Amino acid sequence: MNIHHLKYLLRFLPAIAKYLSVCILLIPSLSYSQENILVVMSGDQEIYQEFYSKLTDKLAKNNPISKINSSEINNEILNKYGLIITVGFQASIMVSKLKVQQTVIYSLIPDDGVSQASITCENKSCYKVFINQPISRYVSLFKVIFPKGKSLAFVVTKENKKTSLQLEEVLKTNVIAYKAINISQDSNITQILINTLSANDILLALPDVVIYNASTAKNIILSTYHKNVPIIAYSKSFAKAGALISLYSSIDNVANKTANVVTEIINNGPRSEKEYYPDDFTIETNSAVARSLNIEIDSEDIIKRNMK
Amino acid sequence: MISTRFTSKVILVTVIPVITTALILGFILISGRIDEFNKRIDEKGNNIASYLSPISEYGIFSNDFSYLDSILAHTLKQSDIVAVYIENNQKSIVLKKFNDKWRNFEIVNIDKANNKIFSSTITKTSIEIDDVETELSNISSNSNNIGTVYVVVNLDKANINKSRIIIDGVIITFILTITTILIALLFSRSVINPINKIHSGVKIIEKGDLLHRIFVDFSGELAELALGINNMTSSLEEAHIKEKERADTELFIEKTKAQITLDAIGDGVITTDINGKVTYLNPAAEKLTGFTLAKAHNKYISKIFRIKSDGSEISNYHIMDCIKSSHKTNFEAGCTLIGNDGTEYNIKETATPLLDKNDNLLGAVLVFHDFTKIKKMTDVFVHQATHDELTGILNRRAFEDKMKNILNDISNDDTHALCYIDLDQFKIVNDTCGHLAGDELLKIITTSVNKHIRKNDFFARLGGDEFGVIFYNCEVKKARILAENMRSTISKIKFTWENHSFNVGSSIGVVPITKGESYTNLMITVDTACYVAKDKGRNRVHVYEQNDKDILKHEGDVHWFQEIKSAIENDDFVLYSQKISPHAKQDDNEIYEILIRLNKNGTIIEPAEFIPAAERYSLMINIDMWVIKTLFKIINGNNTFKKGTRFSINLSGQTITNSSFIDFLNKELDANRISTSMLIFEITETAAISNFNKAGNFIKRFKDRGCKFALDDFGSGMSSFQYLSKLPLDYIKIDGSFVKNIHNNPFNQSVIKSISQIGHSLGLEIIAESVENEQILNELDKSLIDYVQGYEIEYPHPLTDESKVESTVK
Repeated sequence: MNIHHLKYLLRFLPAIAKYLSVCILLIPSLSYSQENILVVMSGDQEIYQEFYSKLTDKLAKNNPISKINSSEINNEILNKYGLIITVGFQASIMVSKLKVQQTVIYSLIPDDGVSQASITCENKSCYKVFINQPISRYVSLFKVIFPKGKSLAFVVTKENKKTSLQLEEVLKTNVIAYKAINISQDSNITQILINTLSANDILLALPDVVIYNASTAKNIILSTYHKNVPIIAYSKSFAKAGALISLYSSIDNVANKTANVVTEIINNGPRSEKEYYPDDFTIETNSAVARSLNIEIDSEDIIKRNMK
Repeated sequence: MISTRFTSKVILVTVIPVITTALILGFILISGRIDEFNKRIDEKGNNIASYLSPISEYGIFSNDFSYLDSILAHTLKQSDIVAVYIENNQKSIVLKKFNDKWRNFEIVNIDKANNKIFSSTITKTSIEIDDVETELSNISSNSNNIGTVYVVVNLDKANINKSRIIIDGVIITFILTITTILIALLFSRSVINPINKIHSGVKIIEKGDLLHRIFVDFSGELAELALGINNMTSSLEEAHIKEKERADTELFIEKTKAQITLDAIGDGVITTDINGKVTYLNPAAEKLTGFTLAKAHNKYISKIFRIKSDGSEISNYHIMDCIKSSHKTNFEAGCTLIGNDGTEYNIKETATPLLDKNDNLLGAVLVFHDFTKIKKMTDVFVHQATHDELTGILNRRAFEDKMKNILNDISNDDTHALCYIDLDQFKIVNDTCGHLAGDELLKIITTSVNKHIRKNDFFARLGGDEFGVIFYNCEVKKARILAENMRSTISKIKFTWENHSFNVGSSIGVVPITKGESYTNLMITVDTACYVAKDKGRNRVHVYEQNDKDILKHEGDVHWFQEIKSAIENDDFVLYSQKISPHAKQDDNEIYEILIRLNKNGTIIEPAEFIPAAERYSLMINIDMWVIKTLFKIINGNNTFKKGTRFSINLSGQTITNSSFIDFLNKELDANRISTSMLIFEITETAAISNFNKAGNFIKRFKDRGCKFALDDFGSGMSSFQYLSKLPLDYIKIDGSFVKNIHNNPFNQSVIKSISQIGHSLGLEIIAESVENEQILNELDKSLIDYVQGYEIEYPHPLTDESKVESTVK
């Protein structure tokens, strides 16, 4: 995580703080109010510290919250707490491997297939709060910024097959033309995108580390750029790297959702729904790319408002 | 030379650092520019490669490099960019683009000497696109190196540019160096020019030009140095002037002294220049040459100094040889200077070259000495030494020299003759008319005989009345005729002197002069021949011939000549003595006459045997000297002589007339400290009268010393009582011929009586000798005879036998 990400997350701190303060007021009435909460941090990075800060701000003050680094945890420690909140993928993996019996909320994790496979829930009190946004929101975004005449292309791999299928259903539902580009892990995605994409396409990049990672990002961006294909991406960093627009969850968005889930569980007991996406989202546009591609795009607030 | 060296040094000192600095700067400039150029090429190549590498990344992945076309086209427009090519990580060339100019370029055969390849690795670029890190978001390729971009840059242009840089650098360096050198030279001139001026000035001053000054048109220390040198030169000049004035003064003084000296000296001095022209004459030279300095000046020496040698004038005078050879020349033997008025001077002269301090010839100086007077005096002396004062003909010494010369030069073929003339009866003239008459007669005879002397003959007076003639180149036969003519001429002379008239004859001996004869023998032989002529009756010529009986007879005398000389040398003579006893008066002081005998191999020979020969061959003086020496030795060696004993010693006429005998006797008396009172010298009447003056002087000289004198054999010759008064005698010894017959010859008795009376009247004591018997002794009147001597008194006996007398040594 670079400094840009941190700055981006800091914007949501006030909102997260307000949210957490409401939650804390409600905690004394919850059944889990007497149980201690342990927050397992993936590391000391600022983003985790920010998330922890926002989370603690949003949770009820009477809930004793402890913090530990994932490298220090074991079952004995974890067993001392009634609720365990993991922050980040690393902490989630570590806790998942310990197969604890307490209620665990895996927070700030991706919803891709690989993550899903790595973070398993062994008991009923296992919840996941994804950092991703739901696919429908991307489709909504697409409809807002490209209301007509465009085809949404997306890459389909074996790992994100499930997500792809979901996306196809949404697209079909919204009668949106789409182009599913199937690739394997060893394929030359750049070459495939050049050969596949056309000027009428809009590439929707959903989180999938096999396709979209630091190594491939540049060539994908350049390929689509050469094809005059804008990218709708999933992170603020992607927008800054060259995507036309990104729809993503801010730390504050995730912390709010995590705090809500914790509050719900504490107040209402175990929940049936096990996976949660943030209720809110954040839009980031790249005006330079927009100009290069000769695309007129509204401001982020307008787009967000239009989506709602 | 020094200036050149100094200039070179200054220029070198100035220029070498400049050139070195310029070369270093040039090298730094060129190498810096080349490095910079290389750096720019490298920078350019690397920049292009670095620029292309990131943008090629996409091409590697997309295999589409079309997006690079415009960039590469722009890049390859640069003339030195040959090509750009890209390799993937499998080393496969995925893109090749060439400059149109290098379209035939082949990458596999790149000439690396003229091309340089720059490369840049194409790496995979990572762009963070996830806001939240996940485990999987770190997936990346195993290798970030996905290819390489190569840019080929041609170095031809670069090399040309480098060459230009080098040329430009060299030119700049050269121009810089030249400019700097010129500036350095310009500046160095400000040092060199003053130094050169100082140097050349010092050189001129060093050569002696003290008036020279260094022109100072520069400043600084060198100007101070030049001014200092000028000041020093001024001081030096002042000192030089003072020194010159002092030297001039000294020179003037010396010159004046020399002039005065030259004026004062008696020798003539003439100086000439190198051409032999007269430059100076001193007063002596003016006087002798007859030319004043004003007249002689600048005239050739041969015109002024005219000389002749051996009677002829020398035209090519040797002073020119002196000048030409630069060596001293002279006329040591003398020559004759002919004065301007014709006067001739006998001179000795020396010509010496005149040289300056560097031995350069300036001329010559001629110094000559006038010895005319001396030569005349010398000529007189020589004439006097070789000629008879009375007659003017050669004397005996000169005659002897001529004879010896002839004998030295004679050959077997030469025939010369020697003639010996002895005048007869000349003694009578002398005795009768005195020496003046004799001398006059001799002059007349000489004049008469001289008429018969030929041109090459030699005529000399050998003694009182003896003459010698050398007939040169003349046979004996001819010589006899000439001698006869001379005899005849002499015999015809009638000499008259104070009423006395004399006829003088001559006895002449003639002998041939032959090779191998000695002078002495010749003289003895011719004397013998003359003696023979005299012996045969006088007034005749006797010519020597081999086995001449007359000569042989006379040779007995010649024999005695050798015997006497040998006896003197070998002490073969023996002294005898005979007592002379007082007859009338009582006198204890006895007198002994010293007699001489010859002891020849034990035989005592009487003096009558050898005295005549001794007298004839002038050996009497030798015998008398031997007697005196021997007697004095005996007196000194014998202390038995009675006190008051006197010794009477006989002296010959030859002895008393010889001046050297006087010195001898004085010397012997002094050396032996003999009391002169014990010495009596007996001189025969003939010897005393024949040499009257010399005899008188001799007697007087030694009488003054205390000796006494007796006139021996008085009455035997031309007894003249007048002589007795004129000679300071002490004794008269009456000739024995009167004493021997006194008893039976009344004439003898009268003569003895007369002599005794006259002698006594003159204060003389009378001695009678030859008292051989008692009868004679008795006949002798004691009133007349003071001393007697003879066999009756004592027989002669060797002197060394005398032992009865006491020593009389002082």
